[in-house]
Amino acid sequence: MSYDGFSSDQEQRDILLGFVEEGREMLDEVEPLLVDLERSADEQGAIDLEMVNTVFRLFHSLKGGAGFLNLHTISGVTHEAETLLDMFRKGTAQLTADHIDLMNRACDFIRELIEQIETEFHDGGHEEDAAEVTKQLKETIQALKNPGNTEPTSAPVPEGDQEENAAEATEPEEVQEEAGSNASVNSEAGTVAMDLEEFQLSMGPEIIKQFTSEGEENLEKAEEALLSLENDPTNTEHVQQAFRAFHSFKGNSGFLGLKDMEKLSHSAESVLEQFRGGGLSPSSKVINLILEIIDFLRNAMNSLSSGKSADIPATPGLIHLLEDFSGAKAKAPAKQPEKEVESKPAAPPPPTPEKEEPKSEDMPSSDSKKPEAKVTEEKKQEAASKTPEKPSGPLKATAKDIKPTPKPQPAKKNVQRQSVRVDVEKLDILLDLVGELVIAEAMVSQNPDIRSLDIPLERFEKSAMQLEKITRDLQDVATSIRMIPLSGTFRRMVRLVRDLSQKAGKKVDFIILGEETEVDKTVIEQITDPLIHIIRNSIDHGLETPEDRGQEGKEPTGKLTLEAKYVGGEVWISVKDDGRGLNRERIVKRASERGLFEGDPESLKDEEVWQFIFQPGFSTAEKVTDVSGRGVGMDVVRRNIENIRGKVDIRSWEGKGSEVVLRLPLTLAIIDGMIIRVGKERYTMPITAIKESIQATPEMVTETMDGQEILRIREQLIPVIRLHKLLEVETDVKRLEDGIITVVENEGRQICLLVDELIGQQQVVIKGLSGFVANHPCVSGCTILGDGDISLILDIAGVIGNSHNSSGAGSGTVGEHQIDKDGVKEHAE
Amino acid sequence: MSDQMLHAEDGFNGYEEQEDTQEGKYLTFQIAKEEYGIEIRYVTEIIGIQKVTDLPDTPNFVKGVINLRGKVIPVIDVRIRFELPEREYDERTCIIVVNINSTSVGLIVDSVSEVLDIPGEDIEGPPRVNRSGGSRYIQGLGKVGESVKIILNIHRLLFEDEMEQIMESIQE
Repeated sequence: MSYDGFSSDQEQRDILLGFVEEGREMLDEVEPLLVDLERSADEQGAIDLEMVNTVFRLFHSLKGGAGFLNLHTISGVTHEAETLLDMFRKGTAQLTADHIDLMNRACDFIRELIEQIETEFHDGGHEEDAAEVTKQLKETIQALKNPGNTEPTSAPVPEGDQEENAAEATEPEEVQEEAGSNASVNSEAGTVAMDLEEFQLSMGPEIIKQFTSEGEENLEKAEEALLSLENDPTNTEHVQQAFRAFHSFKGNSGFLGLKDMEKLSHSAESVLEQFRGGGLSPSSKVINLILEIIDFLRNAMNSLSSGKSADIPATPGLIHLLEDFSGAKAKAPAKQPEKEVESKPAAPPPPTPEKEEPKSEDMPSSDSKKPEAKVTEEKKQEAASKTPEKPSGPLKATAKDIKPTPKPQPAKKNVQRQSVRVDVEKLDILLDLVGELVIAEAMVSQNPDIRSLDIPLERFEKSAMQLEKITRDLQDVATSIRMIPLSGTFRRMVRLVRDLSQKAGKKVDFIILGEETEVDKTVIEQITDPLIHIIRNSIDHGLETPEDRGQEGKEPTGKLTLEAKYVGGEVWISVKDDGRGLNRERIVKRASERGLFEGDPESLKDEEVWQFIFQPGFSTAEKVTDVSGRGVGMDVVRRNIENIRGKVDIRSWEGKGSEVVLRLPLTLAIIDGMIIRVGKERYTMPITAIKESIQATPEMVTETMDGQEILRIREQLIPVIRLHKLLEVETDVKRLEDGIITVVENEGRQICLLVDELIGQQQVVIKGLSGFVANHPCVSGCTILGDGDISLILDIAGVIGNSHNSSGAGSGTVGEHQIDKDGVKEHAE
Repeated sequence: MSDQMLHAEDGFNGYEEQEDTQEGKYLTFQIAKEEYGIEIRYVTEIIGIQKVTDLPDTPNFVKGVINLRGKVIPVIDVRIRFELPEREYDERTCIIVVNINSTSVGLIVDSVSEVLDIPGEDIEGPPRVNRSGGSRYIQGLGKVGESVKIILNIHRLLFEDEMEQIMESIQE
């Protein structure tokens, strides 16, 4: 494998990794769209053209990228998928679930390949699988083409080629052109145009954002090329570059049905075509005019992204001006997008550039695509290093002078094109450093040397406060950088729900809410598996089959809602279904069979019962399906969520449904801690675990015969753990009344901790303990205090769990704890 | 692909070379009456004794953790590891910070002596008599002039038995 022109292996690998990343994103985007497509085809009997187009575009980009990198397997498969899609796009075939399955399989296959590329940097070795997938696709395509034989598209060989050509072209005009050439499909062309109208109205913010950021890039490229051209009029490279930029821009705007933008960029393209052909010399007057057009396009994009119309009223005037320069020759092509029929005979000059593009893309491996893509790569970097205002500043002025019709909106300029791809490792380092800065800041401003000085410290205090404020702000920003929206994870679930519901023979209406909610990247990595398990459970156990639902008087289609929202300092992700709910009796039965509790099951609260399903190997399913029932799922859920210091809540309504809520911290690096002292040591407890702190009085204390102390706090009886015993620390505080009792709670269990003293509340940066010693169940990590000392962070779940395991001093078993609660109930009555 | 392999090997060789220059160099330190040595390539730095925060439920030779400029690293008392009687820390007590398998660990020793070149031919195998107690950590005996330095197998010192269990419990 050789990649001529790449300066090093490293560079080539970087490019491949970039492709891997992009490819993943695209697949993530394609999959839910495919599911949506299927649904819309199911419900309305017609496919949503907008979606087909989007899917098509994604496959197309994937193919382009793969072709450029000589990843033949991927480009081959995507090519076939594209051809298939094109048939739906043009309405020559009816989309069915089988087709979606097929394309999903293609996606899976590509995903596998991408994973291989990530580690091995090539996509070879899967020729057989690829042949299988392409064969299936081809067969389907063939089958779709042949059955009717009434359609004009039935002539297999030449028509197929033509279709492939059309498939390459992202410009709708091409499609329309083709349609126009064939009278019998004319009516269809009409619907395509109409759909595009509607499409423009229904463009989502996501699409607009993508379009504007790409558009901005293209315009910048064009602008740059034109400015260089002005200085160096003989250099055809600049013309080419500007041409390409306009061409892409035209393609995109045409795709979105933005007529004015398309027309303007098209006429600019025509003028550039004449530069290229030598029919016109690039005078600064012409260049100025094109630069003005760029400004108009930019303004239109701005108003588009701020939700207004993207129309450019000055379009006819501008085109006219351009035509003045380019003379009669350019007239016909300039009008082309307006009247397709007319354009066909008058087209000779422009088709040259337009045909070239599709051709080059037609053969993904061909060299003609390489230089363009490479330029794009380079330019992207250049463009990124530039502020958008710089090049457009002076030009804006000229635009204003000449044609003030569309008001430039400089304020809106900054709205778009703001993302930078950064290696996660760098972000981790940044966050680490900020964490250390926070500690260092505390070490300076709370330095005991300064405290011991016996002089007024007003000025120091002031500066220290300033420093503290900046440090906090920096910390907030650094933390927010790692926050990414949940949409990617959520969208992956769409596919999962579809596959599972099909397998289980259930109808599911899957609703996603709050996908824009942002959480820490590590959190996202940790919640994917739990979400899959929970959704599986909901579909497999929760939701009923359509028949069962009918009997219970429910809608035949089950409802499954995946929602994310901010609640306090947490993010809640809930999976809610309207199925049969958890079966309390069955869970209780299984739990007692497994000896998970003793005593009267009636006394258990619902939430206690639900906790049983988190036990490893716990399953109430009579039979193990290939989806779920082995009892691994909820254990994984809880473990993953606890890893990121989250909680899992379960709610259930018999016969009405159930809800699993993952409660996650916003960030993993910092917690609000309460610093406490035991003996000489200071420990940190997460504030969230602390219910209250009290001073005990002798009459509150009851001691059982085995030495277990129990405190009565109002109506509750709560066992006591002496922290100094648990952590083996020496202290003078031996009597409960001398210290402070801190009531902590985890998963509905409460426990009183005896500590010497509460020192204060403080935000602490969590440091992991070295792998060498991080084995204590009661310690989840440590933090560095203001004076440089280390404070261990207590893991309250571990403390409570530990107390239940060890039978020695300071223990209260769960059994006792539950009996305590009984006692409480009796007391209350 | 073959290019990549080559590169990888290059990198590896470079690493080896760098280590070559440290070959035969040992940091020596004192515990009780004897002088011990550890290979210099493991040593990151030497610091004075500082406040050690206790960790609950750890083997007795794990003294706790220290704050090394914002990094929290565990420290072990080599004396206790050797099953020698404990002794008060004083101003000569040092913590040798070593890095093995990208884990930093501090070793508390009575005092640090010097860096010595001990050529391979001057190092003899460990004594074969007593394999119990502390002597299982011995990698060899280095003869320097009239004296003998006990060269320690740092891997065994840090990771053997109890340590292994700890590592295992973490990996679970």
